[in-house]
Amino acid sequence: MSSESPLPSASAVLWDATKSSYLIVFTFVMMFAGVGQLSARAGLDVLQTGVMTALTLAAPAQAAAMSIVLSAGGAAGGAWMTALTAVFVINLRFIVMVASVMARLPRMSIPRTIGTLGLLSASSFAVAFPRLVDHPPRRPALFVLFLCLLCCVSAVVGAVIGHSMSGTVSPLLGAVLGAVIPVYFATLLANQWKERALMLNAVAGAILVPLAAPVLGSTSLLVVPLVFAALSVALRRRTNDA
Amino acid sequence: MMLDVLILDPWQAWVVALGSGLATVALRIMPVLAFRNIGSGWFRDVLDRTGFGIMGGIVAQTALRSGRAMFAGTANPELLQVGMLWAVMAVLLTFLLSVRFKWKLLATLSGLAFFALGGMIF
Repeated sequence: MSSESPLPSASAVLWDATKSSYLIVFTFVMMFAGVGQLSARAGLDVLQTGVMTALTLAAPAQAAAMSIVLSAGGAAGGAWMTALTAVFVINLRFIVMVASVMARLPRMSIPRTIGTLGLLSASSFAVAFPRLVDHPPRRPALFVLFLCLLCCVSAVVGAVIGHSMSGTVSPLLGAVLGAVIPVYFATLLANQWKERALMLNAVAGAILVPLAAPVLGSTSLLVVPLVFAALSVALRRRTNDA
Repeated sequence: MMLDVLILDPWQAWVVALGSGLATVALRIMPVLAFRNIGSGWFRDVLDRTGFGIMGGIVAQTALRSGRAMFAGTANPELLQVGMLWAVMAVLLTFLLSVRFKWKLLATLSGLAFFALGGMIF
């Protein structure tokens, strides 16, 4: 006779995901409102802004693309191609993020895995990943899916609101809203305080990524943590072998 | 918001909007197809550590950006650096509160209050 309790219902998992992400959802609405404003100035209509946000879900990449279009100032310069390339390069980090989360999920079919992780953003990654490592939910794939959907919907809502807004928030309020992300993510990292290896990599990322950014650009967020992690694992294996 | 000048042709706007989205979705699908058997060995260890490295990087970069944004309107470049330093201190304070008291929301609110205080003081 099994002593395991039944799996939580979908609504219970949705509630769990909501509790885990409400701060991010709130921040996303505000953050993507800024992206929506930029999109409007760059000439995207509201449908294009919504589609781009729903699929891209990366405020830095979208803001960079819109800034490129705005600074080029016209169609003749091929700014659309540069903007597209910038989004692609900035979002290369999603390869590792998706792989990291996937490694913590039960093995599923390819379509289900794509359905679960197809809308992963940096923020949903930052909420989901420590949770999967620390105390995984009973239905981890559904938890991640709901998390991604909550972030996606809030981003689109924010972008559409921003697109139709003409006013701007004060610099202090904008900065405080922007600070929700690092401050909240710090609490997620704090959960792993006792995991020395993971903390070492987090601290190294916090120090080395900004230092490498002037040289490596947006790829520093992908390259630096990957290289440091590979080196630290190789060093540990070598120490264990010795 | 009405535009005075059409910056992109309609088809170019669609290429940017849809192309960015689809390219990003393709980047997310790539590891699903390429790394089907991650298992529990050294490769997953590398991915776990990389994940936390990326999180650390996101925390640092967004904190610095927010600190700079706090004084974006000022002509004094030193204030930009003060803002970045203040943002890093807010993150460290939040982290320590979260480690010490196992707080999440309270630590976040305390960190944000500390951060906002910098904007008012300076």
